[in-house]
Amino acid sequence: MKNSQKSQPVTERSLFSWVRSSSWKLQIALLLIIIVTVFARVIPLEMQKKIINESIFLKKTDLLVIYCGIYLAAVLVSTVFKYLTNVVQTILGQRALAEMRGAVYHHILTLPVNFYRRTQPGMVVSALVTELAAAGDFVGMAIAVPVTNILTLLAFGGYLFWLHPVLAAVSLSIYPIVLILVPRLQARTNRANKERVDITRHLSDKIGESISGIHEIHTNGTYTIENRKYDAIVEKLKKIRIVWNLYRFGVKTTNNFLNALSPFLIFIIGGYLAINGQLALGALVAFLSAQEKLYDPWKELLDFYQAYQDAAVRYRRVMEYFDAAPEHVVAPEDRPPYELDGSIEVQDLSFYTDSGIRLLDRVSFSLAPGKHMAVVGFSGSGKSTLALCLNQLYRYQSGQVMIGGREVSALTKKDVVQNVGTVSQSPFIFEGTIEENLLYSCSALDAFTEPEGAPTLDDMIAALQQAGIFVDVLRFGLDMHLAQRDHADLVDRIIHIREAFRDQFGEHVHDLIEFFDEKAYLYHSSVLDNIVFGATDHPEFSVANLSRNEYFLAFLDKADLTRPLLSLGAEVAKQVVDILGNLPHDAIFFEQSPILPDELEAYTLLAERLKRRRLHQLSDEDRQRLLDAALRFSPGKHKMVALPSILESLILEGRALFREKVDEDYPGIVSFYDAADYIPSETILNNILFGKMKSQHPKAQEKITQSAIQLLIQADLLETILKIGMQFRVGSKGDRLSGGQRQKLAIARVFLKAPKILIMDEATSALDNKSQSRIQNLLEHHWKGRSTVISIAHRLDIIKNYDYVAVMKSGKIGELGSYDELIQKKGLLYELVHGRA
Amino acid sequence: MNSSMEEHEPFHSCEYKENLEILRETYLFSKLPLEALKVFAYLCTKEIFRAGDFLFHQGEEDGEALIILSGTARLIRDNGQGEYTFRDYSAPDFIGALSLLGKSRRLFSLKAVTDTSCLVLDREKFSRALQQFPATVPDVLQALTERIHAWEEKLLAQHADPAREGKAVVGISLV
Repeated sequence: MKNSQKSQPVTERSLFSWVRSSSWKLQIALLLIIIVTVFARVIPLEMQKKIINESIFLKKTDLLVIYCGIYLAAVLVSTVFKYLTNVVQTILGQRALAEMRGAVYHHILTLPVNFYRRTQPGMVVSALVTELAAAGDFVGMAIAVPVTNILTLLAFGGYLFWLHPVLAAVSLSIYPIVLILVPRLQARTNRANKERVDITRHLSDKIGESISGIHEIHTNGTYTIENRKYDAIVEKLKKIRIVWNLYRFGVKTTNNFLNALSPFLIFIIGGYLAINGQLALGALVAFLSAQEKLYDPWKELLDFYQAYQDAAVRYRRVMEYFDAAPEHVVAPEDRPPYELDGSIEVQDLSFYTDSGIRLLDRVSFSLAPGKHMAVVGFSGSGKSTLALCLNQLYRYQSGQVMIGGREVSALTKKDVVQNVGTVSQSPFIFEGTIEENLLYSCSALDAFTEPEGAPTLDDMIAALQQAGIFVDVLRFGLDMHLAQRDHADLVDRIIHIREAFRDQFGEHVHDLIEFFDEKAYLYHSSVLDNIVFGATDHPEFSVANLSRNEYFLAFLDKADLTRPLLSLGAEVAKQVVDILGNLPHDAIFFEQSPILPDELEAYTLLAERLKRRRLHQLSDEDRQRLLDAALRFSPGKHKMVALPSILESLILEGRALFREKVDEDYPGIVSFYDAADYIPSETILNNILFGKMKSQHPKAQEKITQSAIQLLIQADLLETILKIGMQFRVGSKGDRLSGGQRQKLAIARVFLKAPKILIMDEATSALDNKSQSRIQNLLEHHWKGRSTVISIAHRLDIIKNYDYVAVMKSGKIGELGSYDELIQKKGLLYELVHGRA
Repeated sequence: MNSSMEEHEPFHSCEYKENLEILRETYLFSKLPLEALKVFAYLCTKEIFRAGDFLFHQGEEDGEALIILSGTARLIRDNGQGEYTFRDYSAPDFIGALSLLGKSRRLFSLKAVTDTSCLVLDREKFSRALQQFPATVPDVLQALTERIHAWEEKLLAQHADPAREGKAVVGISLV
C-alpha cells in the first residue's frame, strides 16, 4: 500500500488515501472495539425492559440482581471500550498527521527556489502547523466515528423494530424530515458566515487605518467622520451576525424540535397501545430509552459531517498551494551519483523570468578542468543568474550547460551536489555548532557515511584556516566554560598560562582588563559575582539557584542588600521592557541586557504591575524575578541604568560579610577567587586574564586575542581550544555570528567539501581586505588545477590572476579573455576598471 | 591607570540616558521618534582609545560610526608617497554615517591625538534596529542627503571659482 503511493506526489493524494494508508491492524482493532461497544450499548436497554417486566413486575429479587449485574457490566464495558476507541483514534490521527507533515515538508523542500519567490514563510508554517492538524484529526476519526454512530443507529433502530415495528416506523419518521431541512438551513448559515468573515475583515482594516492615522485624526479633530465610517461597518456586522446566529440556532432548534417530537409520538401511540394491553410497560420504557439514545449518534454524525467538510476544505487548500513539481529528481535510483571531471561547457544559454524578461542571452564559454574564471560586470548584467543556472538552482529555458560532459538540467540533484560547491552572496547558516555547520556541505556526500570518508579534525582545522575563521573559532573557544572535572589537566595548564600572561602582556593590555581584585568593585562582573566573589560546586550555591537559596536570601537581608537590589532590579526591568519590549527576540538586541529574550514577556507583565504596586506589595515570584535581574546586572555591560554608589559600597561590605559567614557556616563550600585557582564559573579567557575585558570592541578583542594566541601556541593548546570553540552554537540563522563570520564559515564548509567545480558568488563581499586577499591567494595557489572555479567578482582588484575574465553586460558575455588581453583591448573591462573615458 | 580612565568609571551615571541626549543632538538621529532613538542609544557603546591608537585604519571595513565625547582625533591619509593630515575632530563630532548605511572601505585613518572617548555604533546593530522601524528610514536618508548637500554648498561657497581650483572634485552631491 505504502509503496504504491511513494511515486505519487503528496499533493495529489486525497484525504482518504491517508485513511487507507494508516495501520490496518489498528483499524481492524478499532472496528472490533466498536462492534463490542455498540453491542454493549444495546444491552442496558434490554436489561431495563427485563428488570421491569420480569423482576419488578414478578417480584423476583434474584433476577433483579442478575439483570442489574449485567446492566452494570455492559455500562462498564461500553465506557472502557469507548475510551479505547478514543485511544486508537488518537494514535491513528496523530500518526497520520505526523506522516502528512513529514511528506508535505519533504515535498516542499524539493520545490524549485522560484516557488519561494511568491511564497510567504508564514503561509508554509501555518499550513504545516495549523491547517493540516484538522486533516490529521479527521483521519483519526474517519472510520471510528461514522462506523460507531451508524452501527449504533442501526442497532437501536433494529432494536426498536424488534420491540414494536409500527411504533418504530412512527418514531423514525422524523429523520427523513431532518435530512431534508437541516442541510438547507446549514447552507444559509454558511452563506451568512462567509459574509460575516468578509465584513469582519473590513472592520479590522478600518480599525488598522484609524490607528495608523491617529495623528491625522487628532490634528483635524475629525472624530465624527471616523466614528461615522466605523459605525456604519459595525451596523452591517451587527445585522449579519444576527442573521447568522438566527440560522445557526434555527438548525439546532429544528433538529432538537424534531427529535423531541418523537417521544411525543411514542407516548401518544405507545400509551394507547399499553392501555389497551397491546404493549408491555417494560417494552414501552425500553422503547423510550432506545429512542432517546438515537439522538446522540445522530448529533455526532452531523458534527462529523461538518468536521469532514472543514478538514476537506483545508486539506485541499494546503495541497493546492504546494501543488508544484520539483524540477529535478533528488537522487538517481539505479546508479551511484556521477563523479564528473570539472569541465564546464556552456552553449547559447538563455534564461527568462516568468514574466518574460531575459536575464541571460545566448551565453557561451567553456572551461577546462582546474581552470579559473572571474565573471565581472555591472549589477543586473546576469552574473548571479549565470551562477544559479550552473548549479541547477535555476532551470534555463534554452541552450546547454554541461559539466563533465553532461547536461546540467538532466542531472539529478545528487549528481550536482556531488560535483559542485557554491558559496552564495549571503550564505545561510543553520542553528547548531560551528562543527555541524562546517560539516554541512560534506554531510550530503555519499563518502561521508563511509568509515574513512568523513573529514578528520585536521581537515576541519585546515578549512577553518583557509577561510580565515580560525581566530574567530579560537575566540569562541576562549569564551566557553570548562567543566573542571572533565578537563583537570587543561585547567592546570590554563593557570600556567595565566602567570605567563601577566609576565608577558600585563603592562601591554592592562587598560583593557578589569582584574579580579578583592578590594575593588568589579564593574564588568555581575552583582552576584561581586557579592560572592568566588565559585562553588555545591548545586544550591550555584549561580542559577543562589537567588532561591534561603541562606543566601537571609544573608542579603542581613547585609541590608535586599531592598536596594529589588529596587535596582525594578529599574532594570522597567528600562529593558521600555527599550526592547516591542523588538523581535534576536540575539543582537539582547547582548547588552541582563534579561534574556525568553524572559521578556514575564518581565513585561511585571513592569506593568510595578506601575501600580510598591515593591513590598509584590508576590514572592515577582520579587524573585527582580532579584534575578539585579544579581545579573553588570554596569560595565548593561548601560540602561546606573549603579547607585550607595549600593556599590553596600555590596563591597556584603562581600566581606558573605565570606565571613560562609567560612563560618559552610566552610570550604565556596572557593573564593584566587590567582592560583581555576574559576569554573568563568570562561577560559577570563581564567587566563584572571579578570574580564572592559570592552567588546573588535580592536580591543583583537589585542587580547593575539596575546592569548601567542601563549596558547607556547603551551601547545591551540588545537584543544579550537576543538572546544568548534562546539560554539551559532544561534538561529547563525545570528550569534557577524556577517563576515557567516560568510567565512560558508567558505570553510565548501573548502572542506573540496568540490570539482567551485562557484563563488561574491563570496568574499562581507570580508575585510586582508581576508579577501588571503582567500584570493589560496584560490590561486591551492585550488588552481584542482577545482574549476567560477567567481562572480564584486571587486576588480582581485581578478588579475584568473585564467579568464568574462565581462557581462545585459545578459551577454561582452568580452572574454585573460585580464591583460582585455585591458589592452580597451573594451568593456578597461571601462569598468578605469571608468568611462 | 590614568586620569581619563577614571572619568568614565565607576558607572554611577546612566550611560543610556546620556547616549539618548547625545543622539538627539546628532544630525542623523535628531529627527527620529523616541521609540527608535531609545534602541539606538541602548545599542551604542562607549569606547576609549589611548593617545596614538587608531580609531580606524585606511582600507579597513569596520562599518562603525563614532561620536567623539572627549579628546582629539586626527584624520590622516596615506597616498602611497606619504602621510597627509587633514583635520582634527573633537566632541561632539559625528563621523561615519555612510559606514552605517553600506559597506565601504575607509579612505582615511583616524588616530587619537589625546586619549579619546567616543560613542560607537556598528552597521550590524544599526541596520538590524532600523529594520524594526521601517517608517524612520526616509528620515535617516533625508538627514544624510541634507548633510551631503550642505557640505557641497559650503565647498562651492568657499571656492569662489571652483571651475579653476577643483573642477574634478565638485559634484559629490550629484551622486
